[in-house]
Amino acid sequence: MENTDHPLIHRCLANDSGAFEELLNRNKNQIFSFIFRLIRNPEDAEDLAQDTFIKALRGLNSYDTSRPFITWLFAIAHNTCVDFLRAKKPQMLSIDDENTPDIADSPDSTRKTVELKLQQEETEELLTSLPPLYSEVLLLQFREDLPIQQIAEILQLPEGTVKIRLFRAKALIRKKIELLKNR
Amino acid sequence: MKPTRENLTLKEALASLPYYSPGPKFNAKVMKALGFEIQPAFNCTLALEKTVTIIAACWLAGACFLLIRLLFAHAADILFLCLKPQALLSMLKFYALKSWLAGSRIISVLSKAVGIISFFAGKVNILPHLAVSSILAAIAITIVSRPSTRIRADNQ
Repeated sequence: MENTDHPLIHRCLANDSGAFEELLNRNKNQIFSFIFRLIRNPEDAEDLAQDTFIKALRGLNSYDTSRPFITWLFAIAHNTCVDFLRAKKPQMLSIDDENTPDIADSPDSTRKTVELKLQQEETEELLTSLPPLYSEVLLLQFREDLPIQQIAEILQLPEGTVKIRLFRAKALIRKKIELLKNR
Repeated sequence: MKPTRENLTLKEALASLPYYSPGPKFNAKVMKALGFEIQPAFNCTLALEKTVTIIAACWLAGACFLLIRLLFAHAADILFLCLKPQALLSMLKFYALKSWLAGSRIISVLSKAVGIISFFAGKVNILPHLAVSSILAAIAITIVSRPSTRIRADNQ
């Protein structure tokens, strides 16, 4: 993707409106879906996605071509979401989840590879139930298939912190599934 | 009814999540903020439909106009037919001959025109054309001029 985006970026820097629109069409679904799953409101998600692209396309001069373009977009999207949540819903930025028992009390769940029976709707519900700071690392790793290093760049965190969040996020989601099954 | 569940790992479950699309005005808002105006995409199908509809409407209007003109021009004949429907056949014959005569005249005029042009172009002999058109016109005039005994009988 990054190789095919670079010629478009060069055209954008030459103020080619067609290139702007093509860049937008290539990436808007990914960015919108990512933001929507964090914010959980379609209107706000659309506004934030627009802000993300406006910031990105206005600031193309500052884009480092050695990084993949989508990584840069996700970084802007992440910052935009965090600013929004900090202003409107600061409680969502907490990584505490009151509805799940403490992960430390269940040593087995983190090591087992659990066969999960999941449909798309259940997966969406489980993601929604997680704190956004956990759901975003899961989305970036498993949905966007990004390596830890790029996730760390996007979130502006050390790689160790990203790994810990992923570990906790996976454990949390497995716990929630077990709770669902046991009802 | 719910579909059959499959065994999915967490990774596969997340990887299979769909991408959602923002609303239809998303691009326009972003481009406007960047200082560009998006031209609406040219809808070829819609344009074709509009063109065909307009042409069909023009033809229909023209046909209606001609029909109304004919009705008004021959209002007396139409009224006569309504009163005496058996005269319809005679009337149709009459108008067929009238049309034939008009057609012959047109052919004659065109032939003459072609002949004149050819005469001056020096390539075609004008006389055969004159002869044919004159004969056609004479036949048509003869047919139309012959009194119809049926009409006379109906009018009596």
